Amino acid sequence: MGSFPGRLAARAYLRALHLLPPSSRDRYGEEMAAMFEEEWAQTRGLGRLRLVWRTLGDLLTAAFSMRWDRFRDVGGIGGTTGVMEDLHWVRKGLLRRPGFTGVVVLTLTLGVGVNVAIFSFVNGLLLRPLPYGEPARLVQLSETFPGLGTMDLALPDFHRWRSETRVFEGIFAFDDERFVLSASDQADFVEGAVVSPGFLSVLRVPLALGRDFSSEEETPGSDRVAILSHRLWESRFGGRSDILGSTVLLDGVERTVVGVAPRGFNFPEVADLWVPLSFRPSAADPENYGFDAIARLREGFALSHARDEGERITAALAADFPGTKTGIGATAYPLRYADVPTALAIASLVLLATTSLVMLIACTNVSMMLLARGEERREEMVVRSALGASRGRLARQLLAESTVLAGLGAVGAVALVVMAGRVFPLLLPPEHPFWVHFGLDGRVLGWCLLAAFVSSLAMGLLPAVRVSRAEGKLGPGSGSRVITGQGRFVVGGQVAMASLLVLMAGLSMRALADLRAVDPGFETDGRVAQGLTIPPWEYPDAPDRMIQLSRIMDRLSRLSGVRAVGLGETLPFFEAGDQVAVQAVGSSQASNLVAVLNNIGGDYFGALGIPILRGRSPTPYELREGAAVAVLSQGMAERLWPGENPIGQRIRHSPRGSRNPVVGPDQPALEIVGVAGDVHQDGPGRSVQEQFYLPMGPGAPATSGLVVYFGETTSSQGSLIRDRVAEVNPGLIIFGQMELDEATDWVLWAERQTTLLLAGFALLALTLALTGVFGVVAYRTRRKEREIGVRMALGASRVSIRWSVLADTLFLVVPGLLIGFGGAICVAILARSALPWVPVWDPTTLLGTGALFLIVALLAGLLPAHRATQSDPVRTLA
Amino acid sequence: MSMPHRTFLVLLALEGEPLYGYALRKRVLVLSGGRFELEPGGLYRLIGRLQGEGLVQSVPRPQSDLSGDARRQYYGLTAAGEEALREEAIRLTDLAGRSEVRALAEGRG
Repeated sequence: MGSFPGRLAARAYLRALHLLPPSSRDRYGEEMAAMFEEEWAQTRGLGRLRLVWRTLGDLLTAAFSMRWDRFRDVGGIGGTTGVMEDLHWVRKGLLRRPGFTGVVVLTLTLGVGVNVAIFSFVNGLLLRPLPYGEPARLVQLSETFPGLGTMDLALPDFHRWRSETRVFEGIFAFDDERFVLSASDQADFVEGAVVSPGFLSVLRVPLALGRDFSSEEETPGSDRVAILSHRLWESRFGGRSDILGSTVLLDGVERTVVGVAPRGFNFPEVADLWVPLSFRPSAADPENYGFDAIARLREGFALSHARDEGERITAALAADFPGTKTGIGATAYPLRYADVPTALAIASLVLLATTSLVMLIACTNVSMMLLARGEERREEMVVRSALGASRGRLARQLLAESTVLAGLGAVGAVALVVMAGRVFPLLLPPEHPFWVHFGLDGRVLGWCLLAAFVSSLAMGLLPAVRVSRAEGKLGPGSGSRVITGQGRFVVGGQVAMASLLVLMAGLSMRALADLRAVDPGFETDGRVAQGLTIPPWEYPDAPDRMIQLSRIMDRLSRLSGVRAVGLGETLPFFEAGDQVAVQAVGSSQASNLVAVLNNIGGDYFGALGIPILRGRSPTPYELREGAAVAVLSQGMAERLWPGENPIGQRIRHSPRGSRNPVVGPDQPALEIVGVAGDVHQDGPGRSVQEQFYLPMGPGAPATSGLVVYFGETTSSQGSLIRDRVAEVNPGLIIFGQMELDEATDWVLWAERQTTLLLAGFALLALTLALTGVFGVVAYRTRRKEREIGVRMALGASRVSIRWSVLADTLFLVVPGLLIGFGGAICVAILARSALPWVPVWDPTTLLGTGALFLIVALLAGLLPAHRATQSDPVRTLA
Repeated sequence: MSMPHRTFLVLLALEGEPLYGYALRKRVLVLSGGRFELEPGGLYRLIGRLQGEGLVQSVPRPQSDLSGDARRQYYGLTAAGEEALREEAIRLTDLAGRSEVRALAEGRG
């Protein structure tokens, strides 16, 4: 032990022994030090490192376990005897002060309630097992191209994977589809999906009635069958037991009902009916990467096997289609990740952390209230102590009290969670996965119990330890010393936590405001968007559909007050649009520029207020004839011809549905006639994408979007549009009408909800913390009235006393504010890496929060001080 | 009434001659066939409890200790400690003698 490291280690060990409770240290400390030195002397090299590591763990364990032993020995938790008696005292104590009890329970209900409510949100999204058999073995498959990220599967690739797989026991493809269900002269939209046969057996979902699709029903021609959802079966068919074998009219095609899905099953999101995905592998478009695929791993196979197999199969595909599938890859990931957007998952976890802070603030408030009341109850404690109640017993009673209070709070919290369970679905977009539910379940109840337990410890332990340590000194003033002594930490902690939350909420609101202020690249005033579907089963030829559209646009533009009417295959904020690869004609290198292709008609740019920066927009003739001209977005023009004039240049693009970077030379060349302003197609928070516009030509797609630009907004515009459409043809299907003014809010939906919740929680935290700070400071100053009286009697001036109270209060609050601000700025810096528009430094919120806390604290300090200085010192001292 | 295995090992180690902390740890390690390594904190927590229950007491330093380290404290069994140890030993022997237990052990061996 004589060496320097030895002496150092021995000294450090003596220091570390202070972790142990003092009585144990006094008794065994020296022996333990001797033992450590002996062991040190007998080890060498790395062994000593291990010794230090082990010793550290040992001391930490002993620090807790020895204290636990002592607590038990003073009668802390003395088994079940006396529990009834404790409860009796608790009941008496709580009923004697119903107001106090009410405030405490309300505080806890809010604190625990919002936390558990958000947990139920996290639970609903991330923790509840998916309602399939053995969901852990289900994976979502996708294909990848270098530089393009993941995309869905092309049907021939899916077919290949399914026939060659060795790691999956089942695999199916699907796609959302909306059907028109006609029954007894009433036609409605019904959300549905096309699915390949066997999807229910891959998911392991048993049917309520009938059977799954058979593999023969995948062949075009023998696919006239359908499966209904339970709710569609009940709402539209009265739950008829003879539904199987009857026919329904879907998109004008008769299909036989072969099955009814179980109650609550609406895979993938809100589907109410399913029809077979029928195709001929040889005839299906190999470059339409438009189908989701889900597979079930065989027993004993893992995700990595699925990925390996995907690589093997896509390598073969790339070899078979060297022109179009070079570089293709595949990947697989767990089903839940496919269904829950990462941003939403992160937001829900941030909210959970936020509400945990709210809960902590609520608990410290209650803890302080209990301490202050303990002060008032000291006589009861002194008497009971004198009558022979052990310290441990009194401590246990206080813990019992806080446990009962926490229990009552938990009951309130459960009620809050049940209510929240009804509100949460409204916060999600209507098309969320059908399995998302936010009700109570075992996990939520377990979390609620845990939260209640933690909060009862957090609020009861401090008073309990104080009482159990106080020995016979339960005289006057013991509680106030606690409050004044620990008040600094409590106030500091509360101020820190609350200001952190307020600042985060402030930052988030600021970020949202910035997002709303982003110029989307088009005008929104006085513009109404209207979705329109021309039933392709009634108008199978694209030119016939175009005739209908032209008539509608013609009627709309003749309305008084209408300045422009435009038509787009996709409208910004509503749909992302198809992406295709684009290449400049004459450019030798293979470009992998991917851009959004939008077919337009009418006065699209005028109706949306998108500026034409160079050249011109297509002429009516070009639009009608589908001339080989294009208008590029500014960003796209810059990418293809940086610093040059693109007018007159030519481009080619790959066919729709294919994002393959290779553009074939047989694709027609398009002449660039204009450059339009950039548009945030996917919403103001998303980056601007390269986009180009082509004349829709004589043919029209089944579904497109109309934009009508009215000079001024009136309330009847919506019905005007609907009426004109109906005049042209009452059989057309209109949907999703929206004033573009509202579209920004709609597209920023997730950001807005998160910000609203965050702001709500911050407000709650702020209120709780302000109450807590006010309580502690006021209590502290009131306890000092005596001291103030003495100083007044000794000739101190009122002003000097006020200054000292002021300084004292600032000392209490300012460190907490600084910690909170520091934390908030750290969070903002972290957030910035993901959300570049988040400001790190937001002086308004920062100063506002600080000022609010200071004002409340100063009021809490100065009001009692003022009272004390006004009154007669003799009375204060009496 | 059975006792925790580590308590039994500590009492067994102190049976016969008093030991000080480090020696006690090593003896327990040997007695348990290398399976029980008591860390100092755990050891003294246990000794504290056993002292509280009156099974173990501190005893004067034996003549044989020539280390000169005054901090070494020796512990030995009290009469109650010896009694408790014997009871546990009898209980274990009875248990080990039962045919079911033997059959299990032999079946596995």
